[in-house]
Amino acid sequence: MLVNGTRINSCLTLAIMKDGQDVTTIEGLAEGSQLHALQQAFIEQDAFQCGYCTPGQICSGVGLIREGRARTEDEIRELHERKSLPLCAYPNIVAAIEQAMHAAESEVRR
Amino acid sequence: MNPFTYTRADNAATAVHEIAAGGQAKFIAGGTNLIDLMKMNVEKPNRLIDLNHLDLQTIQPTPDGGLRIGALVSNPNVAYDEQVEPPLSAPLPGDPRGSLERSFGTWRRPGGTCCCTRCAYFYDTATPCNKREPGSGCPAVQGLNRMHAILGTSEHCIAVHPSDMCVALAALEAVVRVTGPGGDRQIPIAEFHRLPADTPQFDSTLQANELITAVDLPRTALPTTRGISSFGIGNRSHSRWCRWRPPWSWTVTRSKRRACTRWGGSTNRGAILRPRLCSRGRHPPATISAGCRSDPS
Repeated sequence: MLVNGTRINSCLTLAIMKDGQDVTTIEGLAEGSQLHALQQAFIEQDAFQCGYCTPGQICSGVGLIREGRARTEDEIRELHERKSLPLCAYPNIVAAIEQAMHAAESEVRR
Repeated sequence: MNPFTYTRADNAATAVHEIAAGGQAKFIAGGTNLIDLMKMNVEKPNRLIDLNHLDLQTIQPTPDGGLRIGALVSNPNVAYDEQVEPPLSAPLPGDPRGSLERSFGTWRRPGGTCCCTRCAYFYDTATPCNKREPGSGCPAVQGLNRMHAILGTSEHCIAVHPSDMCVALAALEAVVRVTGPGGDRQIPIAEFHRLPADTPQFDSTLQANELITAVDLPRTALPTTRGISSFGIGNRSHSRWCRWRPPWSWTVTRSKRRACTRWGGSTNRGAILRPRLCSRGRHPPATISAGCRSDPS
């Protein structure tokens, strides 16, 4: 999830430790029925299999894009927080993040 | 279920006072190691003292030209800080963080310094473990130990320290700054971790109720012409640290894969020194022969 916009592993922190901070889970990314750009990209790129780690993959991707450090596919691969899973969808996850990242840049330029 | 209370400390003095109040109290900061261990029932504190509101969240230059990394600065913030990785003329492939630290974006620098071994027997409370229960035995010695230490072990423990960053800190001769009931002191990183010997239950030379406040990098540790690349090559005035382990193998610590390479003279002849050893403590400055295997897989 995201705490103050920063991606963290929610399973390794206590809720009470985040008292007073801004917490966004996967459920908080969409605006009503409008999916977040990265959620939409995950669908378009077929970036999940069973879906169990997908909320974390998406939240981590949102945080990664917000950090503004990844520019290329290689940098996305290096900086994206993997889930230590033998996941065939990783190339598609990278593609989805790249798609959303470029969409966000286009939005800013507009 | 292990019930526990939670307290926030506002400053280091309060934190030290709180933990000295007795009981099975533990500091918690990033929580990525402690909460994992609590879930596995390895750690069972009845009091948690939250350090996240202490004023230890900055990276500052030191009087000798080095850097003082506050204890609560997360690994990503260390990696991204312009004092640690200055702008470079040539783009580098990516981020230098070790895989274990990168896996946990909230990993605080001292937590990485104090993180516990990933030995499966240490984690499994159904098995004996001299680190968890001194005197109970070490099933890893004759058990599944492919990922355990090959040097620096004792008959009581062959556990390995899982941190990439601590190897780099040792190569860079970092100094750990602590405070406690006895006041402030500094511990060279090479003296911070302990070899197991016959007391594997003690992971470090931290005294009871002491708190890490910062890690100092000396001036000579800072990048000159290059930052630390994603291939783990750091440039010092007289040594380089190379990481050969692929970043995804965060649960695996291979002692032969991480080494400090010392370059001698102007010919760039190097000998691989100090392969990463057992979980704690110093590394004898022995030169490893060229015959040492280095499995890049």
